[in-house]
Amino acid sequence: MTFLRFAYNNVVRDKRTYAAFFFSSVFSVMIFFVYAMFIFHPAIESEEIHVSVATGMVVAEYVIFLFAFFFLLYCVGAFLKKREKEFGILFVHGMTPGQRNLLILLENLLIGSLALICGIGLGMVLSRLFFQFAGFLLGVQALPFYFPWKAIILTVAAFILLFAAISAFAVLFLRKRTILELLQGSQRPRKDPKASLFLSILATVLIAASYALALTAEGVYVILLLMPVSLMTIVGTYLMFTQLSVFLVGALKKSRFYWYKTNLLTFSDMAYRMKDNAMMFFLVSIVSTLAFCAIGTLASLTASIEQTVVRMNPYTFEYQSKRENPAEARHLKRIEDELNRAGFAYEQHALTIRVLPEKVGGERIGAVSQSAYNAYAAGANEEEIGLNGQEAFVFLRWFGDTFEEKSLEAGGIRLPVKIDASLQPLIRGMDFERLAVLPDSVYERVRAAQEEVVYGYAVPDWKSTQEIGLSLQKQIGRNADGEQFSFSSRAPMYHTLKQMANTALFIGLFVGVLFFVAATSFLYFRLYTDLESDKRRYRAISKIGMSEKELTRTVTIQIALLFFVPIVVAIVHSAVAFVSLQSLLKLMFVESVLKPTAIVLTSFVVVQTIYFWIIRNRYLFHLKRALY
Amino acid sequence: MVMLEVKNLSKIYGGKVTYRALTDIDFTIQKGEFVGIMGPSGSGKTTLLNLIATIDVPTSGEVLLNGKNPHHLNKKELALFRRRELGFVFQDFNLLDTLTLGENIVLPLTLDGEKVPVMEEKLHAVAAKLGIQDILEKYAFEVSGGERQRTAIARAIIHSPSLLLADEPTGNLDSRSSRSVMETLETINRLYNMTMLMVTHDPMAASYCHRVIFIKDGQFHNELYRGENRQVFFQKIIDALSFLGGNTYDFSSVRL
Repeated sequence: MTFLRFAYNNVVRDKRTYAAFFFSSVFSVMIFFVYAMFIFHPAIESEEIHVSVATGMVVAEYVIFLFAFFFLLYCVGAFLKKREKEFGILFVHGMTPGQRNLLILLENLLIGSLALICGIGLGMVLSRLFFQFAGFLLGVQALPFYFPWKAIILTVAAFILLFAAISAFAVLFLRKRTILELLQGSQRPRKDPKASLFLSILATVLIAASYALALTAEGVYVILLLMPVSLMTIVGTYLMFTQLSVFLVGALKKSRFYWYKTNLLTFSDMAYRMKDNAMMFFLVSIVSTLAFCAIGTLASLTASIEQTVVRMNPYTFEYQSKRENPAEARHLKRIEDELNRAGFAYEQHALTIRVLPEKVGGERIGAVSQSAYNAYAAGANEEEIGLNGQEAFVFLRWFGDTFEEKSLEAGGIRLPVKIDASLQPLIRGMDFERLAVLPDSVYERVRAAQEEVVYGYAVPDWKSTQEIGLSLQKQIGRNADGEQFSFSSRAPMYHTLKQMANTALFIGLFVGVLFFVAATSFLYFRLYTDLESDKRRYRAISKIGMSEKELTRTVTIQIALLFFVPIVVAIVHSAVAFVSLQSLLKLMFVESVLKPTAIVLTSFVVVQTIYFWIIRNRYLFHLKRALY
Repeated sequence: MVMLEVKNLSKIYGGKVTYRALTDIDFTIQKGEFVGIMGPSGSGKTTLLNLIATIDVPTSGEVLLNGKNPHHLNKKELALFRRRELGFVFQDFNLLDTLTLGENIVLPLTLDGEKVPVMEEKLHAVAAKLGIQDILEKYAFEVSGGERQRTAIARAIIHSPSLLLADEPTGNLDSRSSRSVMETLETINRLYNMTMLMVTHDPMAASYCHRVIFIKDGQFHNELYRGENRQVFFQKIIDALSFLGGNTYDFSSVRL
């Protein structure tokens, strides 16, 4: 047996220990590789797919890589801790520290290479499916398969580096122990975990404060508070798991409840478990919170794209033209011809705007008559403007926009100004900044410095006008000729936004799933580490006389805590985050945060519950087989 | 020829309550000698063995193996020293689960970077001597305790160490297996002229030694030499132990 063979045996013959670690590695490699295949896909070079897709994927690659690094580092660290006794034996037989490091490196590289081969192989097999799915989401033809040697090189290089770096770091973080301590291994007596009262209170305060801030923040303040609140929550969560939980279990032990039936058994071990698993709980909850938030936000954005686009383009086609525009008749005819040729039903609405001769507050004002505006608004199914006799309605254009003047002079009359921040103007001016709606009688008297007309074409089946829209944009141009007209088309904008959002969703979904898989394999790994000591513990207890039912109950509670504590914390965290995000997303016309988020969270909980049930049954099966 | 020399060896464990585990232990072991160390629980036997094994550091005094003091070596030299000069047998065998018994045996050679043909040659030689050639492909959990301990002994001697250290080698075995393990150790001692130092509770096991050193409360108490007859030596050990005034546990493993 050579040294290399020895390292190989260690890994290959201890499959169960390494299974979760291995599958997580394979999964990370696979996702990384599939994204790399996208990035280097010829279709992106030939610009069939928007470059932003590739850019998004590059960002995702970094995220995956960083995440894989920290996750695998944690796993390796935990394995090494579990193998202390083995290292003790080897040291006694004359292994040098250098040889130990070499052993760890060889083992990791071995697992890494296997994971690379499997991950890349699986990625190749599944790439057809991925490409089809991507094509479906991005609204293009399924991408053709190609041999991705560039992607393979990138993936192999990145992950070999990653596994080597992990080995180095894992050795660096290894706690120095004497051989005697190593040989005693996990049977060393353990100190009762202690929690500091101050830090426990600090944890409560930090989390409470960040929740309060997140829930009360409005609009733009959400962005300002994002960093500090996230930081506070992260630190608070960490302290909650390392200090507060231990403290609470300690307090629980002093209560009467503790002495009731099997509670003593369930909770006596809890403080140790909490302390042992604190880091894992912390990581899983933060990672899950991130995944929930990212996926929820993306899902809400995607779900509300149609609304957003309709809000931004009230009509399917809009042609806005100044009075002196010579091409107006020709352009309008072209739009109508195209629509007629393709057989679309449509309605045309026109609105004339007169630009007031005098600036108000440094802004030029475009005026429309109430009846004309309302007719135009009705054509787009938008809200009409009501005026109480002699007043002017002035639009605010965006959140935080103000109009200071109390009155407006038009057509020789001073009109009091009416403002309603909830209404958005349907048109943007070419020669004016602000839109005002005047009573018809006043409007008649306005002498215009400049006049513009907006023609809106409402097509009920607007989603199919993508091609016409693109061809018209090409023929007419958007606003050429010294800005004498502007043309916009809803469908191309909708499709572009939809593709971007779907890309984000596509990327986010797999990164989110990766996080989830990693989080669950943390749990799997943790349980199998505990299985041996649990067997010993429950063997002793069952001799004293614990029934099978009581055993099942105790174990179920313990595993349930392991599975659901981080998820519950993550759900509460992300629920708070969503409430806060909602006020921000509203500014981006996103209304429906609740539904997509609820769908995301519910599906996570359902999957987690199924996973819990499977693992619990397997665990009990192993335990009972050892006991009875 | 002196193989091992222990001079004024003392060990004090620090911490909140300092504890004096060993006080001024002095003895020498000749090449080819088989020495047992006995004493009541907590007398410092295992501490003494750990100090000689270089896995614990003495507070004062020195250990000389072949005239060299291993405690002066640096980490790497110390590892090489253990790898080449020492062999270990533990009470709970300490075989690695992921390796076959054969692979466990060649482990010290693997760590030393020995060539595979040499390893195999040595493995078969030592396995034949210990009568374990049929179980080399098996794993530790597939064989009996006695077989495990004989495997561990094979691992401890495959690299021909200067000194074989055994910590309660029969502690986890039934009387039959204990006997076979002790006979194995005796054979090795005779065959290879191997110097051996064994810590034990078990008077039966100790009766295989050439000499037994008794310590009590960390101090040298007395020593007994074996004459021609093992049976008589066994009786003398029993007498010495009762004189030592150990607790009843020390006699629990008396087997005849």
